[in-house]
Amino acid sequence: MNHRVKPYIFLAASAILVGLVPMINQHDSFPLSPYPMFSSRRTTTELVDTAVFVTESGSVFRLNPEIIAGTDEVILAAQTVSLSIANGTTAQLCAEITGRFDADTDGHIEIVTEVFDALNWYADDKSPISRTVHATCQEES
Amino acid sequence: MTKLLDQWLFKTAPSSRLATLRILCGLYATIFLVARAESFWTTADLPARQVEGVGVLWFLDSPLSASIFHLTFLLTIVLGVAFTLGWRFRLVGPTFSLLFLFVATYRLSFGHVIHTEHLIALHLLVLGFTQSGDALSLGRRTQENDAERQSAVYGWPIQIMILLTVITYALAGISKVQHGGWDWLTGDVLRNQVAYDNLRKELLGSAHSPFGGWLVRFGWLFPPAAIATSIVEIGAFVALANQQRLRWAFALSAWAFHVGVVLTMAISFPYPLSFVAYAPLFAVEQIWTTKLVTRLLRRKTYL
Repeated sequence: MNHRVKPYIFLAASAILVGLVPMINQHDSFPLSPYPMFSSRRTTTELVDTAVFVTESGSVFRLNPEIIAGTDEVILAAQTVSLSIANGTTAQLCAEITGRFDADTDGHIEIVTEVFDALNWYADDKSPISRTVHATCQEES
Repeated sequence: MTKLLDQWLFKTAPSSRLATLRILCGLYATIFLVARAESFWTTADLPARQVEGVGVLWFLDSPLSASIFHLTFLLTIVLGVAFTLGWRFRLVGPTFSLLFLFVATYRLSFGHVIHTEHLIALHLLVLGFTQSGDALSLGRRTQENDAERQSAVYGWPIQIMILLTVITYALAGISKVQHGGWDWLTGDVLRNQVAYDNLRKELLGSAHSPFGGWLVRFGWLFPPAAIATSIVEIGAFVALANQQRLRWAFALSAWAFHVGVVLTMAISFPYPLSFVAYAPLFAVEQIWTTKLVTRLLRRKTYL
């Protein structure tokens, strides 16, 4: 093989496959990506799909990604909840979370979509704009 | 045009420079795999309904056997050590770079792509399929292990690594302007992003940045931060020029950008933060002649 062919194959693959193709088709994959992180046109009001533990007295405890989705990746945990809502499998996810969670007190798990004004949250106004419960399952201590 | 491309691509470099990059990237990748072992390991236990193949595993619609994935993951770590040492590189080089691609792809095939392993995976593919094992390698005869040999054979893979680094930053910069539009440059998108990202982490019971949460109260900080981010990312092209000042300017500003991301959103991109991502921009073989390294190597020899 001509000693110039291999370098030019790498050059073309880098420019076309890694550069041009993701820029044109905007498909986020691995290891080819248009790197869309932090680029979406966010507003101050955003919804968050999550799972919480609600005690009998009504106190809400946040669950971590390992309990929610069996992973330490927060984005994957968020995506897991969002997908379960979209696919109608919230009851299944709720049961899985119950299996991973040992509560000290009686209460229940809720799969919820909460809408907050993110800027207001950090100005100490932490009340949700809206809250939708998709599934509930009982957790006993 | 071809002449210009030839001049840019076929830069001569000592074999020790490409070999040093192999050692740095191999070491980084192996440490990364060990440090994130739990995340890789538990991937095998994620629910089957979440499988959504990406990249080379685009066809995947059900999970692999957990024990096969665990064995592959362990093999990848072992080969990572061999890759770093340059042992039997003709076989180990391509195998490790492909296995790293495989295990990283599998971890991201469960519903969401994160962007911490893209560049190292690409850099490993370049190193694994070129002659980065020609020097500083375990098990090679001394006359074959000539660290001073100068050739374009050792220069062009480094140029490709630089190009890949530049492309990833430029694409990230273009995406921000493409999706966020004018609001990105005015800082609104960035401010909302920092607020949202920290809020989401709080609601999902994860580590977040109280500093970033506090910072979003000051809207005037974000327009300059957004413009600086765009300049760093889209301006990454300056690193293609063979000028050390420009390369240092890019590497330091990009590194500072990643430090800013950690401080404001608790999001870590370990490859650039370790500075190994920028190593192809510099004459890294010189680390072997620094006082600290020569002292360490001498001590080891006496032992």
